[in-house]
Amino acid sequence: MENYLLTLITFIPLAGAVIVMLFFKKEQTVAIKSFATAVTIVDFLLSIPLWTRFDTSEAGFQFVQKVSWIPTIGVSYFVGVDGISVLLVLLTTITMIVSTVCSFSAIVDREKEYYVCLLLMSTGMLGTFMAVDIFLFYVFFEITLVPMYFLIGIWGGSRKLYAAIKFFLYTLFGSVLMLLGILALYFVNLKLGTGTPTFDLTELYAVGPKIPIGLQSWIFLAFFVGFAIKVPMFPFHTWLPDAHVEAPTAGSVILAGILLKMGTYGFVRFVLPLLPQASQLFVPFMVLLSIIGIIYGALVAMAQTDVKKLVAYSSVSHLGFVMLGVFALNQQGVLGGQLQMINHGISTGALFLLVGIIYERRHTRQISDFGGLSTQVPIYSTIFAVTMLSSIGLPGLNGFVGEFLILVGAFKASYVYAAFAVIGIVLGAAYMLWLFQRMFFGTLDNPENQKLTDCNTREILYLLPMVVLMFWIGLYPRPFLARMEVSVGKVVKMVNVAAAPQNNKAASLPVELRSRLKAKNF
Amino acid sequence: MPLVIPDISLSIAAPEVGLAILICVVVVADLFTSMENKAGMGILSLAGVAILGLIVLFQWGGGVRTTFSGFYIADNFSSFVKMVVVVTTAFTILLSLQYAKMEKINYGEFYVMILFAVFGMLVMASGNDLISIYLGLETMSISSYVLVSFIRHDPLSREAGLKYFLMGAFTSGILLYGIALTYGLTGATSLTEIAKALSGLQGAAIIADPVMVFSLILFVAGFGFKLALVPFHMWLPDAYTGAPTSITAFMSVAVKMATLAAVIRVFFIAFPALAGKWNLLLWLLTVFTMVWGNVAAIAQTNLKRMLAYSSIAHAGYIMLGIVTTTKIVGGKVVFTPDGISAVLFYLVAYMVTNLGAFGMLIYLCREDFRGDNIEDWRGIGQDHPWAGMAFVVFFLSLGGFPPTAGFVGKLFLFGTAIQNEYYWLAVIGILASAVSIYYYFRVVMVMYMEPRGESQPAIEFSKAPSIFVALLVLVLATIYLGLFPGSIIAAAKSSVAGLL
Repeated sequence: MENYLLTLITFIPLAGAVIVMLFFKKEQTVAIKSFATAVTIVDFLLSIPLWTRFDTSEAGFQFVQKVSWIPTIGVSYFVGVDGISVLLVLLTTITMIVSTVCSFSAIVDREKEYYVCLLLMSTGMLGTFMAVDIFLFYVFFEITLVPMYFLIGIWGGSRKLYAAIKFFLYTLFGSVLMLLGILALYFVNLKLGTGTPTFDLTELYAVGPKIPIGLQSWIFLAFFVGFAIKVPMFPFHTWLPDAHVEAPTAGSVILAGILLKMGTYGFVRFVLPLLPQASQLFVPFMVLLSIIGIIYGALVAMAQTDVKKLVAYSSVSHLGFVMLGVFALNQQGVLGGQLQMINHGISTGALFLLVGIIYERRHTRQISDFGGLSTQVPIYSTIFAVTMLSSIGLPGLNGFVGEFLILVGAFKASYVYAAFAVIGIVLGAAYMLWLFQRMFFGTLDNPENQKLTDCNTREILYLLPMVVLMFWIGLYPRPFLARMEVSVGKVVKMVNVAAAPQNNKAASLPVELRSRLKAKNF
Repeated sequence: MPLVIPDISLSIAAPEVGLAILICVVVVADLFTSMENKAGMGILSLAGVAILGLIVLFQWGGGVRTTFSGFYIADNFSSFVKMVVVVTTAFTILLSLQYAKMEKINYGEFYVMILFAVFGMLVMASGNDLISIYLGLETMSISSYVLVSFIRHDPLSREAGLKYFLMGAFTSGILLYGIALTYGLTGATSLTEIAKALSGLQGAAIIADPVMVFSLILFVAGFGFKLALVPFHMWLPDAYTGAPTSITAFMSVAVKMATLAAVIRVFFIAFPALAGKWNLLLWLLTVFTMVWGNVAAIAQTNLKRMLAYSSIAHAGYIMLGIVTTTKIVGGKVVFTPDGISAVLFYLVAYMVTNLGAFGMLIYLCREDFRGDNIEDWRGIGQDHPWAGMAFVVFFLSLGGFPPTAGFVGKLFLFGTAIQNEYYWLAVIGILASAVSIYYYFRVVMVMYMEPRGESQPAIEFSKAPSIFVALLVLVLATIYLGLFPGSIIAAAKSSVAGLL
């Protein structure tokens, strides 16, 4: 059972999708909805052992299953989770339940195809986080694009076609270049490593530090383009607002909650340990882009008049934080980045859900159309307040823990980094609080808003797990951090230890030269 | 002087012999068949082709054997190429059975011409001499001129046939001139003899001769025309658009496969000494082809024409495999057999995918209506989810998306490029292939995201079981090869093993 657990979790949604396609009629919408929800719930229940039976002292992969797949080129079906991926897997299974349930009333046409797409999406994302074989990873990484393309393109807003193809092409351009990077890594391993063809990450880890820095930098750039577009980091972020604004609520939740994490996860899983010297080399560049992202995202968010767009730009800013933490290249920074990935998934996911709820009722997302909502919809306002505060990083809620760790990490790396990051936090508080003020305080003067109804039971039910997690991580982050600590420690050690001899060599070079010169002089 | 009778072994040339018999049988049977029952000729040809497939399969692994004084060679490489050609032919016939009736071209000659073209292809695959390769090429070309213009009552088809014929005849002339010059310089037409003449000190003198370089350019141009590499591609969009759709599918795979077999033999076996020169020429053509094929496809509104341009782009990817097979280290030429096996695998992947994509057009075809325009596919994904999904699978594979055959194929092609450090070529190629997703997915967008117009005719797919079966097999094969490419890779590798 243990061996097949991850495979089961990954492919149950796929099986569900096939069953929906084959055995349900278009008109049976209620049956399709219930079945899809059941599938996601079963998937979540199956993923619970990943939390309870996870060995927190083990840095390597657990629950592994390895089967040879294409032996001639060394591809294997190799899945496993470690501290870096386990929480993302759990986040995915939870988010999938939420996004399925939140679509019941939001999606009213072509339901069958919709739930099929959601379930396919789920398989793609879970596989991406679990794959230990780079080939397998790439396959899942690419597969996620297709259902998302359909989710945005069919059930999206007014500019859905443009947003869908833009999302698709942007990400694709990055990932095909990454494919070249993967191939380069594969052939370098043939030359410098064991000599046997393999895409197995655990074996490639060993060869990474041996790659000459020139080639390593090129491979780094290839991976960088692939993942940075996904994150998205500053100059590559323009697809994100379009995709988020046009996507249906569930699409936005999945995009923000999980899809973007595939980028940041990629950096921690592949770039840092596989290309340690290049990672060190590019730190200033990466930090610069992250800081620009943090501040630029926040400033642009402040200027938005559309709530959903505001939340979308806030994602750019938040993921800038994650990247800053990751490229601090120390324990606190990477750990904070990891935790912040989860936090962002929870709080931004919840924000998109909340925006979706109000949009369903009012069919507008303009901030100026709202005002004074707190008296009309108290439950909604309360949840919104908590979520907003979690996003800002108020102590006691999840955002604080992640941001704090990132700042500690950044501070340890350089206080210039930390200083800029703090500006981002202040700006983040500013646009969020201002948004809240404009929407919920003041007078309820718009007659349309006076007819607004509060959250119904279903909505409260799917928001509840998000809120619970916000408090849980905020008040008692220990179990979360404990699961990640050891694996993060390993990554940090790999990126730093491997870089050390290189630095020593560089430092010792003049000494060596001097001694040689001396020898000649004497 | 006694007359030396060259060794002739018909058993080595069994596929060609079998095919010649089949052609005779079909021609004679055609005389006794009434106009209504011409589809029977198709079925007869199909059965014959199936047997032909068995013969080719039987020859697999028989080692390298030559006959007809070295004009003809049978090895794993030729068997592999023949197998691809034969399978393509089988699907072409399967797709044509009903389609020929709809286009009112249901004559016995239709199938006979296909078989004649296949005969030429088989000879090309086994050509070990410039003469036999040229003979095969001409047999194939002349039959395809006829096939392209087979819809006599359609001016588009006639125009396509004429264009294709004029360009093709001109090209054959160029190629023949190249052959003549090479013969003049080396005194040989056999591929291995040419290679021998070009090696050593004497060879160095020939290589230095500008006429040899000119002859090489003629070879590149001649084959470039046949493969429709940019800038020699002008005939292709018109020919592919005007031809009967099943013939377009046939040509895009089988003609390409056979020509590539000849290209591989001529350049790698006869001209390894000139690898530095032809490799540079092909490098340029590859870049132009990949980029222009994809860019021009974006502007098309006719789906068949778009697929025609996309097949130009795919010829570019295939050439990328040929170019990157050659590695020049310090003036010494090293060939990487994996590059050729990547090309062979890609052609198999391309076969199932492209036959499927054109097959979808045939699937939508009716007596009074061709589904050739992108607009005709509007809303189809909504009302016919399975047909829509099949098309999406083919597009994903054409675009090189996992988990389809096209992805694995591209992975191998670009893998060789990276391995032999053709980084820029790889980057250009892979970005061009990312561009291709834009136009493939424009069709997907039309199918799924735009409602069918009020004035558009109702969607009605062909009810012929042969087309349905062909498409089903092709979809499954496209996905299967994406998930489990192992056996075909192994076959491709072993077919290249003794070649270079």
